[in-house]
Amino acid sequence: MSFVAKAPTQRLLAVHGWSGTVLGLFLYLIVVTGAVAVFAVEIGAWSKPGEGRQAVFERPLDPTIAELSESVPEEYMDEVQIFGLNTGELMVFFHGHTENEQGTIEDIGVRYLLDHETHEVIKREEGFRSEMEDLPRSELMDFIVTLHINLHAPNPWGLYMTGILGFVMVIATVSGLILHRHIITDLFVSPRLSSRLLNSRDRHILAGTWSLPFGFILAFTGAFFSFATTIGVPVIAFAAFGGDTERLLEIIEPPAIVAEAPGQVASIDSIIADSSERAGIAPNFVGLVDYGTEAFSVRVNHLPRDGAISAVANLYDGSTGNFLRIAPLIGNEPSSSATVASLMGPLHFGNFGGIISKLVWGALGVALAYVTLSGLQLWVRRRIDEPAWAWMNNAVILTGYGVPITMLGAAFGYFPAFGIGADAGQWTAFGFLASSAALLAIGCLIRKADRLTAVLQWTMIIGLARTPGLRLAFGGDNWLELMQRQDVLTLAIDLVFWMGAGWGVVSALKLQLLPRKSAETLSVPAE
Amino acid sequence: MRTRASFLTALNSTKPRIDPGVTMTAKLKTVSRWLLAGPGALIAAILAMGGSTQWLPAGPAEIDNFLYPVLLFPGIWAVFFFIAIMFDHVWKAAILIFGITAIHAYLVFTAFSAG
Repeated sequence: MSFVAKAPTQRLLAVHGWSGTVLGLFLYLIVVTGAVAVFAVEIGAWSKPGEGRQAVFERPLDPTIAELSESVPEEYMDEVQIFGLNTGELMVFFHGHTENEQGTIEDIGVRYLLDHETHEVIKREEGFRSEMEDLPRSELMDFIVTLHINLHAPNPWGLYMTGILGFVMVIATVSGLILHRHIITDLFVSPRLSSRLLNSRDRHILAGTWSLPFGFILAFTGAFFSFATTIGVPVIAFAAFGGDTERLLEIIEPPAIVAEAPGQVASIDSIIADSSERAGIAPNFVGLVDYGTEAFSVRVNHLPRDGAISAVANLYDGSTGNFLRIAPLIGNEPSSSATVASLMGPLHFGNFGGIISKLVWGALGVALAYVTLSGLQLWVRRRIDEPAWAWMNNAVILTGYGVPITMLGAAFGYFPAFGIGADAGQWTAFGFLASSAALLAIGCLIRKADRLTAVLQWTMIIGLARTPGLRLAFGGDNWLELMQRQDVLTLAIDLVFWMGAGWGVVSALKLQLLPRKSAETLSVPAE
Repeated sequence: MRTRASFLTALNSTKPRIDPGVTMTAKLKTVSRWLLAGPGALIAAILAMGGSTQWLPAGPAEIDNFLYPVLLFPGIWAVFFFIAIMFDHVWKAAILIFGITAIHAYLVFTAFSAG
């Protein structure tokens, strides 16, 4: 049964294949780093001892906020942001809004870094937000997440590139859906063993068919995130607000109404407790607007609780402590578009169902990486007799193993630097670049595909096997400490590295020791 | 397995080859189609995103008319792309895309002029 005529089908196949071939290697990089970035918080905690998982709002906030507000200038009292850092400290940022040297409105105020247990002030900074230090987080995870978001290219160009890659993936998934005329049958294709090429094709179809809807969701939401601020906001500001971006941003995030008259202050801790009960999960952010005035309001944000898809923000009257309403993500009133917008994040990050949904998202990300790479291999193998395509075949092998190897290279730069107190951010980038350069040299020196595959496989295996040891050698918590504080996730990540190395050994031995049923270059009919 | 045969035969058939019988008109049609699917679809999607703020309902929070176009931008772009690829005659796809683009360009122009 076919619902598309022959000529459009031919064009769609050309689009499906060529778009994947031209941008497939970059797409693979984005997909692999995305599958890792799903576990950003967990890998952050794994790579930086002491990060994450502390409940920052356990100690009462009322006396701390009252005491700190005494020493903050009046003009910085418009808003107060309170949130926990991955490193466990509490950040309290009293600020107002004023024009900076570039002529744009920016947050300006006093930022306190507090010990989450004692609320003792660790650090005080004053000035524009852009002048303050970056928030402390794992440099390794930061590097991988930024690679996924904008390929470390300056914005907006980096975001344009990843947005185009997201769009290419949308096109590949939709064209794949149209091309699969027998999609239900393709879901249950049994990979044939008669030849390596047919086996690869069947596996590509099988993995691709199962991951079609997921690939579409990830690609669509990813393209949205890349284009929303780079193209969406300027275009909408131009079309609907006469080019005035400030007016558009004021609607997206309504500014606080500055009130002068003093007012009552209800207990922030009671508000947090009530909000936590309503949301079913502890908050991750508390925002105070017009603290101590008659217009005082409190916004309490919660990440999605287990089983829920979207995050929740509750709004309270700060003077009485009364619950007002659930605050929409965008705008002042609830709206269907704001609801849809609130789903984009959870659908892209897979963070709506705790570690379970993250595992599913990570596994589907790996499946998508396999689909991207196997599709590229299929395209190249059928053209391998031509010298240019033989070169491309090596590029596919190099990228396929190279992306995980360079991420391991980043870890090999990060851990020693972190351990000895050097600039971990710089050494992470150095590890990535040095391993990339080494891979390029290997790619130039070894032209034979089989040999190149073997060398890269064993490099990856050694890298995977050594990484947990490197973490332990440079100040990481040992297994006994992890078991004592029941830190299962950090233990599990170490195990995943070793399991990956074990799987790599099995695959490498299988590829090198078992006799081939057919050569890659053999011309194989469809049936 | 007929299923795999049809899909894989089609995959094989996209292998690039030189066809000496291709006329200038056919080449022009191919180039026009890819121009329409590439830069044409992108420009059309950007103008459709901007112009649709003028006819979409604003909703109770008065944000739906500009938030939905931003949310749907990758989809709008994909729809124009597939129109350019799937239509049998490229001129029909061009008329449809240019028509929609012209209407939205006019809406953007009038809205911007009004400030």
